[in-house]
Amino acid sequence: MGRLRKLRAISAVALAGGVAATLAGGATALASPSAKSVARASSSAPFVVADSSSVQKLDPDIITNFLDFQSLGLIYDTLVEENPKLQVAPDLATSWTFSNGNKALTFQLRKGVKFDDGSTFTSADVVASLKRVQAPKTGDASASFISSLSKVVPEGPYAVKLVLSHPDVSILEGLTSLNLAMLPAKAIANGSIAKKPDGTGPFKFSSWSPGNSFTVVRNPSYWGGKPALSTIKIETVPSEQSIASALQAHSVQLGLLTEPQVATHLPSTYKVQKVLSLSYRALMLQDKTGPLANVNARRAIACATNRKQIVGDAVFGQGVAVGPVPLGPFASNPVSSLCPTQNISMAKSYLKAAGMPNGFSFTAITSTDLDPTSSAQAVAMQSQLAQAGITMNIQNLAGDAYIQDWLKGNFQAAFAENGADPDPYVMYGRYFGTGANLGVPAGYSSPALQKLILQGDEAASTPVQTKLWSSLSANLTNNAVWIWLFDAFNYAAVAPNVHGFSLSPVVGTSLQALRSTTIS
Amino acid sequence: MSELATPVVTPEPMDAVNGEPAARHRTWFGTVWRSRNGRIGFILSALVVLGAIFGSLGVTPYPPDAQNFNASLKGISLAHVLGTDQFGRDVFSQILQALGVSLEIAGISVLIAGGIGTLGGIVAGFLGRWPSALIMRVTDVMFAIPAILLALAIVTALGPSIIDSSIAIGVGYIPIFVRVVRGPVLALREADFVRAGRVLGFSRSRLLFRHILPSVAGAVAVQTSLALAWAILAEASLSFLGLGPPPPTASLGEMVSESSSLASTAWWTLAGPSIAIIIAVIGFNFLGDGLRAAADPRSKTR
Repeated sequence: MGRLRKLRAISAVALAGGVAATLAGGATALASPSAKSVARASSSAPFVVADSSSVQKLDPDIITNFLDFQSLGLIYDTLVEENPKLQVAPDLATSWTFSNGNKALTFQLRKGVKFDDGSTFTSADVVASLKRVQAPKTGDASASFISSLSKVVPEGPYAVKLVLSHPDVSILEGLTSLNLAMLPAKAIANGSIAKKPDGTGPFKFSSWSPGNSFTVVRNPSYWGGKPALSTIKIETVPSEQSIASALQAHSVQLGLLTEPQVATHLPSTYKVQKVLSLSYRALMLQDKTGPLANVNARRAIACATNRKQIVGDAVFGQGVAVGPVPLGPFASNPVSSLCPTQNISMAKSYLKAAGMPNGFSFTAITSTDLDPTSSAQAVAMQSQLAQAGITMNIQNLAGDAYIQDWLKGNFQAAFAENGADPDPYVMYGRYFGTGANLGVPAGYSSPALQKLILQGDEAASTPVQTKLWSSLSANLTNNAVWIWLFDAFNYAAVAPNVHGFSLSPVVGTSLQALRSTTIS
Repeated sequence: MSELATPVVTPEPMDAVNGEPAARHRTWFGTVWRSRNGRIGFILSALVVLGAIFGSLGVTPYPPDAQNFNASLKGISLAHVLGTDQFGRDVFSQILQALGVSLEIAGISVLIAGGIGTLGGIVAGFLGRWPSALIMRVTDVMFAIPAILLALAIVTALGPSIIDSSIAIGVGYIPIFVRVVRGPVLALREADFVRAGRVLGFSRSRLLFRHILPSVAGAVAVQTSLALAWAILAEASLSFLGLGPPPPTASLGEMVSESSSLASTAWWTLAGPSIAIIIAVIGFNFLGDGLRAAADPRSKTR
């Protein structure tokens, strides 16, 4: 019995001792299968990109998840693209001209471009692709980018004219979105887009294991020249700490990170690239029912929020507090016309005005699968709102559950990371514009806002646009439509033997540099 | 009647059966304390329980969820004995609150598992035949599913909260109690005092609850202590995976999860909750060992 007792004692110590190691090192343990399964970098082994998120969908028109954009961006091209300097640059269109008072846009198309199925890219594909975007049954996440498009007219096989219902120069910026990717007309007719990606990009689809990995292989007939990397495997590694472990185990060549505490403590052999991302974090509110339908209740939330502290807590100060338009010539300044900084007494005044002097409660959803910092944002904000008597319950969801609920507007509040653009119309037309295709998750609509967005889009001169977009920012923050929080840095940890990769601030296309990346 | 009832409410008659009445004067606590593991277990468990009581009553150095932007990630100091986390919250205060939550969940889950499992074990052991077969087959099926997996499935379906986590963990440990109790009951139902009770016309429920149940109390107590350790571990695991009570309620697993990325910069945020889990698990395991020694008639004579 003594021996048995000793054994039990030893096993208890071992068990308990293992708890911390297991829990804390869970990340490492989770990473190890991938470390085993992935061969080390060599010319034949896949180039492994690690991300804590996973690819959710294969149809480029309906994707909303950042990693979906990044992954499918390797397969698909758009007519024009946004370069790292945030300028519109040629992609499948080599040049373009606006005419008829900005009511027509003509593209000259690139010749000799082939889809993965071997068919040639022509104006017929452009017509079919844009018609698919506009078809309500498609549910394109960025359909409103081309809401002004009334007709697509092919002008021979390699030119196409977009006829617009009103002057709209923003459409060019909108056409850079992968939600408006060029798809083969044949695949659209077959209905095979959502099952087997077929694009003109530098890589071809190889395999997809949902929740696990997404693999592409080099497209030898890519119009921009054959990429050096033969296979790219985008692996889902459940936490950024696990990505760091995988990087240290040399089983990953490129780690995509958002948590500064992980990115800044990697081995010095890794080159860590850092860019202020073209996205913004916001607390999106469903403003149509419950306490959040009351504008003063929403204003109380806005005034109780301390953005600087959230930046400090969630991303360790590695970000900047922003308003509705985070960057570019029309950036919101100040970040909020209502309460640029935390003002608890003002928040309490708004609560009184809302008829809820003792506060109210609501639930906010987060997904650490999609944004690892969202939980910290929520915890920080929960404490701030409590100072004004507002109770914010937090519900963390798995990535796919979050996306489903988000798209259906099935939430009271949602911590979200949304793509940004220098053009406010591209950013908010799809949320608050007339016929906004993301009006449901946006949770708010007003004729005044719709009018502002349309006027801003149609404005011909920059001063007029500046005035209108400034009014848009003021309208959004005065009505506390959402609570805009901050813009943060994105990080890429690049293995020492990887050359030619540079992280783009354009989140959706941040992996495009892989087409010219080499490995030694 | 009392002549029959007395021997079965305590384990002493068993000593008498073994011809070792010398241990009668020694209390359970004395026996637990005499064993080294029992002593360590008792002290550690007492510390954990004490911390949990303080945490639950809000007797903490700082409010556990009070954030202080200016005190973010401060190391160990007199002001913050276990440092602060990224939100400037006092880690020690958070641990005390988390221990309260952990113990509450562990306690409720063990109550569920112990209550249902003991009843099931007694019924299966005493009645035999088809009730036993039915209960044991259900138990076998439940045994086939790892407890933590079952807990994960249940908490995913019910949602994360203290009660739901308790149910999720408790259900997973019911089969262990069934098996632990059924064995002794099988032996006891043929014991002389039970036969005598039958002869005297005692009802089944009286035999079960007044005579047999007290006789298996020792085994249940040992299993309860061990199950508490496992339940604390299971609760930490669920919280680690984000399925514990939502913020601002502190939980040890979530603290470990959140601080794992800070291990290289703020080790204390990881060390505190990890050590708390270790102490709680070792404590209740060792206490279980001590209780087992106390319930074991042979070990009392040493």
